[in-house]
Amino acid sequence: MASENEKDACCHPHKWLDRYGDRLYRHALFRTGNPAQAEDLVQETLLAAWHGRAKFSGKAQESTWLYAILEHKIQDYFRQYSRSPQNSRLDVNDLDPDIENAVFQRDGAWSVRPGSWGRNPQEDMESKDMLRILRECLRALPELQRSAFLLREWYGEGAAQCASALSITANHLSVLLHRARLQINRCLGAKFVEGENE
Amino acid sequence: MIKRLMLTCRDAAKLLSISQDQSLSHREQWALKMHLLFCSSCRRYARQLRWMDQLFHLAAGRWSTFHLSPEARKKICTRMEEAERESLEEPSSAED
Repeated sequence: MASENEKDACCHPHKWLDRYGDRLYRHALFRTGNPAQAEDLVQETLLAAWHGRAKFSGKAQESTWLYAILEHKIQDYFRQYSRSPQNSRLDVNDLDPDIENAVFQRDGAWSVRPGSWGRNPQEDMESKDMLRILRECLRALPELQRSAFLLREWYGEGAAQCASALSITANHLSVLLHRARLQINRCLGAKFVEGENE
Repeated sequence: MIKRLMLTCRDAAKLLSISQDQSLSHREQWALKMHLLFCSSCRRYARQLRWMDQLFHLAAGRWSTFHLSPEARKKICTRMEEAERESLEEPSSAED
């Protein structure tokens, strides 16, 4: 049982807004590409965190706990959004429950050889479609894979940190990251460099 | 993790992913090196993994210039204060 003081110290919503507001906002903006929507998502996240503060165990870091709530909110947002037909088609095609079997043949060789793209991240980042493509490829990932991937690659958290934030083992984390990378790699290969000659 | 001396591409891709997050054992490093020496597909995948890593890093860096607007901050603050007041008015519901 935490004393009132400890509780105050751990769960003061204004402190959350000051400390994590921008970080949560950037994440929401990156994922949705919509500033007004991103602001709403931050507000919803902080409110949900406030109402659910009794459930915060203190085991995970406060920032990753808030991130997990935001991730759920973003998910809800996309669920509503993807009901419109032009967006749902993409998800179904890209969501592959067993990516390894899709990408590799039985003997362990690549089914489709990786393309020749991926030489210049600086330059490719400037491509105006890059953000849209990244968003779409991220959306196509299963939830836990996406959380693992984003914590690691976007937030730059260490592997141990990611595993404890997601309450999974180090082994499970490496499986998730591996699958997420294969999936994103394939998605990028299809969307970013469609039809490029080798 | 992977015991075989000769890796398949499937093994190599997994080790490449793991090596982004932690260091491999000497045996794994050696097996991976040998595989990459002869496999241009996996060399491509290795390059693309580094590319992805750098790209997300760049994207995250670019985003660091974005901030919640003062208006949004104020709006959220007001809404949070309301929620705090509401929860004070009904002390029974939260804990205990």
